[in-house]
Amino acid sequence: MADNLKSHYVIVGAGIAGISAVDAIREVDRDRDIIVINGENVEPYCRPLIVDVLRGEKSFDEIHLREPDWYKERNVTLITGDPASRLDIAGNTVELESGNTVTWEKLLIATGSVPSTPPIKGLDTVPSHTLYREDDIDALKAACKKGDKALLAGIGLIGLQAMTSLKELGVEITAVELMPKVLPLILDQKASEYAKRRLEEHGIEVIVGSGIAEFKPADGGDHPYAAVTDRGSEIGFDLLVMATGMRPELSLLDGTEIDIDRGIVVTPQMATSVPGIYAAGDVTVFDNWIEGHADLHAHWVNAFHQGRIAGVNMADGRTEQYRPMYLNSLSIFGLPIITFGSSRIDEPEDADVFIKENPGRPSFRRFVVKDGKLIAATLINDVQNAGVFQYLAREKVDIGDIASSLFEQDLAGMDFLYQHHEKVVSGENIDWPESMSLIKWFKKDHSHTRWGKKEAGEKSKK
Amino acid sequence: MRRIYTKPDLCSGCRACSIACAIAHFGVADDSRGAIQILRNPFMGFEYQAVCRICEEPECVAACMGIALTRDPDTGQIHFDEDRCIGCWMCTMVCPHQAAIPDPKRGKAIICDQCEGRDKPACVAACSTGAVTFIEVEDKVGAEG
Repeated sequence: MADNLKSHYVIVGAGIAGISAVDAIREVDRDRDIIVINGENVEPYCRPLIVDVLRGEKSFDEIHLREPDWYKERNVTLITGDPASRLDIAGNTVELESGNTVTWEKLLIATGSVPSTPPIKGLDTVPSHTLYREDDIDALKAACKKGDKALLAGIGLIGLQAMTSLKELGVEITAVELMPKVLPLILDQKASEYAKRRLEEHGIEVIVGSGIAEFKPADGGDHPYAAVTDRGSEIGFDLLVMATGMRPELSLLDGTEIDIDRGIVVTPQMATSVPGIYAAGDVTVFDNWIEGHADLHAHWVNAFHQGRIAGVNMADGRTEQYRPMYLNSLSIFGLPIITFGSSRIDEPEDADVFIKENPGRPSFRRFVVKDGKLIAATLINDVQNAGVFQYLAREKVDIGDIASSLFEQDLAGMDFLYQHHEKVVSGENIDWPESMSLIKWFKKDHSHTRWGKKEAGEKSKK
Repeated sequence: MRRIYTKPDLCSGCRACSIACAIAHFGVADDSRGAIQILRNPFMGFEYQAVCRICEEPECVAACMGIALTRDPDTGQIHFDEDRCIGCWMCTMVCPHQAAIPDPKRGKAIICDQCEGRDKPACVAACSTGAVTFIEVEDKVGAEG
């Protein structure tokens, strides 16, 4: 006998977008019911940390998004292991796989994304793995043993995470990327050389600019399977990991009237084209704040903020706006890389590119300035000031006249703070020198004749 | 509520605060591992103390994908659970105050905890010019009217 549950708020998907929506709803509305539908068999967890589980460093119990009693404390019903299978918009109900239904007043779709696999000939003849859900990790862990050779299709963020974890498990890795560079969605050619070199230093065979034409069982040799590349060479492997990209999980929306353009189209308030239904996280398509055009922004920070905005708007319709941009922070065997904006574009149009690099250390910084505004940046290894640059880009601060000193000297935060401190650090816990409020540059006078009096005067005032 | 309060004007750039912080938290005299960092522009004769400003809506907490960073709803204090930190540097990426410091050696971030449990933060105790002080926030708000 199928149950019919009723709830004011229903959230499909228990990733960071769904959970931060719960947080936001409870800030505004502490009473009305919330049901969160979690399709996986474990309590909501931090998805980017599944690679640590794969490595054996952490268990799923240690990467909870929220502690188990958090849901009870906030009067949230969590349905675990029963994914939503169909939406009935006319009846305001969502059907679960078990046959139960949940009726909503306000619905949030936060189903996230799923790995997308291109149709490659013979893919079904070899066992392949993806890296996304809890069961993927179990399967991959069971399949790989020390000394195996893994073939990794795609060197994007997911592929990279897989590589670092598999390597630590003692698996030999050959990675193949269709595009002529590694991390093609976030790095330009020059920066990707640094990433590639880092991977090769750690014993990973990297093949870029080559697609895979076919998979097949190998005819003899050391490994049971083989892949044939576009160039005709054959790579033998024991284990195949497909990391060829992600796409929004939209299967729930089949046959509904919700607007879709690659992902769910949402307003700045995270409302979809159907009243009462909201969407947040990787599943949405949203106008990029820097570039202006609509795009997918599959990233933790965007999902967190979108979830919040959706939650606030679901609860009382208050308007809040978030300014999504492309952001990425990753680490390749300990080498930190931070990028934001369209950092992947090799030669941006009508823009100045500032590059400062030191291949020996290694360190690399690349900034793209268009119309006096920072629109993209790549920082490798020297990442301390990343927050300031991110802020400059998001606030669209005009840095035209100080751009070169910002980027070419190592005084990044300083010059910026001179001009924009009031906007950034307006908190209560800093005493900005009066002289800094003036438009003129402030200079401490270090000459012998005047230094003592000036400093003494300042100190006695405080 | 007490807060670390900085006066860039009085900073001489000696980095005693950073070193004291690193000693108090990690037992090493390494200024690069202090939760307070001094940014200097020697050409302009300017110093600035980058330290956690206890934001109302902290970006670092939003960005932390290991849920290592949480905000205490009562005091506003940012709590950092080092065991959950995975060294993804997302906090570094989003903090406009440059106060989330990456420590690649340990693979963990360094976040100011306002020296909870001590009478006085180590940086404040070490500052000889009065550029880093510890104040009651309400007092300051009250004084300014």
